[in-house]
Amino acid sequence: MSALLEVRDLQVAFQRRRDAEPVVPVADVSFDIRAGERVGLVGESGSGKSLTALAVMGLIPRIGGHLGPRTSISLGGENLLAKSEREMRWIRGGQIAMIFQDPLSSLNPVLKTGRQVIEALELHRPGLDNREMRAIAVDLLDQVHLPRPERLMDSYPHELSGGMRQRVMIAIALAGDPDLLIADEPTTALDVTIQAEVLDLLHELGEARDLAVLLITHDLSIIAGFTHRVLVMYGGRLVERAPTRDLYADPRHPYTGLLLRSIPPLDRTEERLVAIAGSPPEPAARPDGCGFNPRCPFSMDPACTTEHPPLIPLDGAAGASRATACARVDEITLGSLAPAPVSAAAAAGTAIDDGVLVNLERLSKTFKIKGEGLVGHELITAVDDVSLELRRGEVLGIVGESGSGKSTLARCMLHLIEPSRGTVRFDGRELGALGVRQLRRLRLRMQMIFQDPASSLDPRMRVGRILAEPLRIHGLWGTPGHNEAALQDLIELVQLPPDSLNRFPHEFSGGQRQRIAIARSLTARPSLLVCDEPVSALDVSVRSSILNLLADLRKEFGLTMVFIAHDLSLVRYLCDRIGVMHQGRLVELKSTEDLFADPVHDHTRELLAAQPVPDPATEQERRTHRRSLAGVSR
Amino acid sequence: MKRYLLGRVAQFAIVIGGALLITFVALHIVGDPATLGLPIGTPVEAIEAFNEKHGFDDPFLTQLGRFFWDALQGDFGDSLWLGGDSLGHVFGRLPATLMLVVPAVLGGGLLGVLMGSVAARRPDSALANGLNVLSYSVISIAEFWLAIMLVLVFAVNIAWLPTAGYTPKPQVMILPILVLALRPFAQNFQLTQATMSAEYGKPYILAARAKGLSEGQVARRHVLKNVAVPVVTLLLFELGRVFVGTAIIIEIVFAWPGIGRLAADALFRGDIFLVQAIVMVAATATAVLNLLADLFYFAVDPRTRHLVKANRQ
Amino acid sequence: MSARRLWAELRRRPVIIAAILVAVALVVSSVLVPIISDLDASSPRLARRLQGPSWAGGEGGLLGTDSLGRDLFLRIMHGMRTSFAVGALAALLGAALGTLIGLVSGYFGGAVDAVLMRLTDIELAFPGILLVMVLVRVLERGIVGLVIVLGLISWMLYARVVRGAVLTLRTSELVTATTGLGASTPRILFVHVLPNVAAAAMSLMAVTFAALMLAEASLSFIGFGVQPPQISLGAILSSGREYLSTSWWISTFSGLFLLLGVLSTNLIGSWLHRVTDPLTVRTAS
Repeated sequence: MSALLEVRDLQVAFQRRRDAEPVVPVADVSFDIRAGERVGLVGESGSGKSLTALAVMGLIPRIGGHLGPRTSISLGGENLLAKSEREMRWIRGGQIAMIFQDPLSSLNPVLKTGRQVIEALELHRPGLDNREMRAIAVDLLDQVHLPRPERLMDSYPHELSGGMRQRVMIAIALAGDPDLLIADEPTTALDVTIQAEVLDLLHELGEARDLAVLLITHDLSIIAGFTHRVLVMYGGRLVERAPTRDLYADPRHPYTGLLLRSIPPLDRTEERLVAIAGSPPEPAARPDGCGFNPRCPFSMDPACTTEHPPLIPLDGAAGASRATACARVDEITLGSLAPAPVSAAAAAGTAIDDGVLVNLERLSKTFKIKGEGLVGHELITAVDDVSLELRRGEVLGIVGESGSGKSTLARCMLHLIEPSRGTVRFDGRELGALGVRQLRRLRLRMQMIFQDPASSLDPRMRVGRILAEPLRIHGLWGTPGHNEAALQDLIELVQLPPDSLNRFPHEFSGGQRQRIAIARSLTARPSLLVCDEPVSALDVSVRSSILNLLADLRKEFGLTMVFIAHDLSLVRYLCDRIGVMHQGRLVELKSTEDLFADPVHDHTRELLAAQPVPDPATEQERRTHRRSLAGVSR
Repeated sequence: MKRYLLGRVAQFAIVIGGALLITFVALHIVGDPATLGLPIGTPVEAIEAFNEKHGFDDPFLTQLGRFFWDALQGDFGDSLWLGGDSLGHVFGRLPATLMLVVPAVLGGGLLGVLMGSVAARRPDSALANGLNVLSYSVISIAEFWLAIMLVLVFAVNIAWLPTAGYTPKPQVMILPILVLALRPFAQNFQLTQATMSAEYGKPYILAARAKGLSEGQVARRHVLKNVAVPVVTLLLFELGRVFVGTAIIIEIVFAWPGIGRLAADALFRGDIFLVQAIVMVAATATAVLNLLADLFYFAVDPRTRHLVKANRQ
Repeated sequence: MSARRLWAELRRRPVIIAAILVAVALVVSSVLVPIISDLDASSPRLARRLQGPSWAGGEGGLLGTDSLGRDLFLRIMHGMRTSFAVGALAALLGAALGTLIGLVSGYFGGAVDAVLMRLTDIELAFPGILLVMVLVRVLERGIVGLVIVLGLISWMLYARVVRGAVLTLRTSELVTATTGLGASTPRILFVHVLPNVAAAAMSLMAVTFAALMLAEASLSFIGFGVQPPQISLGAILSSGREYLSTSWWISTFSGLFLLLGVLSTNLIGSWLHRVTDPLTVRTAS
């Protein structure tokens, strides 16, 4: 069977200024996609995966880059690079369609949804009159399972939910009846339950229409049950190619292996995660030799540090379908990788005791929003009647989808937002009854870490100043134990480079910035640490080391923690108890073991069923299960 | 939706009321009408008679109330200098000013939009760089100086065109319109270039290209409507600015009997009744143009029609 | 943006370097020339009236003389000094006023914000130059009055820009995080928020500075600005109009120097705006 798409020696380069060295974010990428085949392209930010997609679409020149001299791309045997721009326009949207990460900004905000579907029909199905096109557009919206498609035709993108927008994008992509659909992180901006629906839809369309799909993602879990084959990119090159089942069962490149081992499992509680040192390189500053060598535990001089290892087919039963780009592939065994050990201080740490540190009683928060009427407003209840107790030294996980109220709950718990009703007691004192000064003083003992460290650190302050700020605020700076030396200790504790104090936040990578934020929260030795999605904005390969750090710190300082996440596998790893939030209410709260063994509330079950896991067999099983459920309800 | 529209109309009313208040405070409280309006050396009796006649001795609130009441009926008092209804004089001079301002702003502005979109499509080209330098020079130039230089070159030295004077003939209007058009051209050029480049970087443009649209179609069907809001807003703003700002000076240079020269003369003579009529006409015109810009925004961008965010899940 | 990165950016822009050199030269000479020169810029010397520039065959020195026989170059330098002083002081006043209003309006929101923003609307709708003419006519005519009036009409833009920046910052994790550390409201406003919006206000200041120099010249040109014996480029330019057909140099050179001053500050200002605008900087990095 010949390939539908053939990409050979793809190289993408950008020359910003005439005198500068060109930056080459993608190099030596070759792969095929067969008709009707679903292929996953996995990589982190800066790995070059999206540029690879744009190159296939012929859109690289449009964004100011150019392809290498040896690059060839052909579709159905025809050389795409020899096509004129006019011919390429016919292919774009006609034979190859593409959908993007953020469906809201990918739709034109000022045009009606129907108009944007019809536009694709005008381009790729000439000769239809207006009525026919409208009928086909309605049918397309129906095919992507959008409710009341007739009405949707006349709505604007901002009136739809995120999942509906992505379905509209898919309908537009189907308009030209393409052979290949490129989906670039199509579910990253969506909630897990919606993510499962969109992926199921793509799977169904792929099967029904014999549509080849190239699914681009940073998340190894979501493609496990979706694709036939997987391509793994790192630092602008392909490092591994394998049938999906083989990749998950027996990864051969150290990067793939480490990445898979660093994802916390959903079906058991792991003592410790495998962590990957460092962070992925920027396209302009990649290391010599194998791109992964500075982070690889198997790296050897000079085999790994001088030349790019080529993608070499592996011998054995799988034949040429597997390939990996590692100079030491025959010498290493990935099974020998062990999780980083628990630090000595953490091992000697304290356990949970019975005292209550935080007590929330019937906490509610409502926001006023301008309504549609002439006067008056709508009330949105973000947190609805939540009561819970937090024992000293325990880690409580709060999970929920976007808009479930979990972040608002965290902020209310610290009185960063004034609750509308109910009380918060911290160490026996009611926060709402304290004066402004007393509350500010108490803040030293209850700290928070945010999702995006880049925006929670003052960009104009050096790290030393940022870490000293909590002490300066309370006039403690310079008192015994609160000096430069103490900050230096703190830097070492969170494993930042020793010269960090004198640098600015923007000089650090995302993971390092989160370490700075963690260090700042610890300067005043708090009792309570609230972490609001602390790893969601980070690259997947740096998440596990941050999670390990939090686990260590918790033990070392006997911290009480609240850990907020949308991902169940993260809370399973870190938390003693888990609360599930849904539409502002705390719908279920029990110990981690019990929650996974015996989920009671419907929404908890929904979340568990939608949470992707990096295991092909499980994922396929769950899809079948979801489909049968959907069949019943439809 | 109704709420938005009513809010805008209320804002319009507040702006007009505020402008009236500022005018009253400036001319009647900070300044003294009699000192401004009567010649130096006027006998005390005459000043008293003047104040008596216009009620300037009345309590503050009475004066303010009367000022607002009269103003809302279009009565700003009789001109001291020309005699007769002040507002009538202002409207009499209006056509002359509009004759210059409207073609200048629309012509210059639209040319700027056109050039701006060309430059946005070819960033760093010789044309784009040239237009950029030109636009900065134009914004930095004193229009009255340019006007004088043009008169010097075309009218004094080579005598192609008449220097000044009011006859609505094309050759007389060329120079003032040309000078007035420069700044709208430059402003619209810079804005169009900037917003279009920003728009081209947005994901929906990439999605449109991925659909198979040609660059022309992308520009016409997708970019244009999104760029229209800031561009039209600026055009309307420029119309107001040129109408009451630049036109004053250019009308003086070209001895053009429009509302701007009337304003300068009225101020020199301390004719406060005429001045307040001019100020209010100018403020109303600006406020109306702002309102139009808001309504246009409302008509084009569907997001303004829904204040409640629909994407809450 | 650090000074080093600013310098690296600057080295790639010859036009901006030229603009900075011109602006510095103009400022220095407008301060020094009136001090060094042994001529008097104001007292008439009728014997030398309307002499052309020496290089054009006249006998009036570098740039000729005016209708009262005074040296034009010297007067232009005096006028430049007035332009720079009025422009800078008025821009400073407007920036201070606007930044404070924007800061308060954006951070506290609610009724304070509504009132301040309606005030901004009213002032924006008000015909700027006409308002200045009215106020100048009503107030005393002097440099101080002019600076105050020009400052009073130029604060709105700052207020809007700063308010917008504060609004985004207020809901940002930076402010939430700082609140969470226990910082007081004044500390959050002045230690954390102000430095982060200052760049936006500063770059705006360079642009309004140029616009205000032009406004001063325009007002002086029509007789509403700086009054004699103070010397202004606009007034010199105006005085040359009568002699346009015979003594072209008076209007030509005074306007040309004005153009140089305004163009160079405009170029510097818009460049600063581009490189320090938090929006463009953030998207670029």
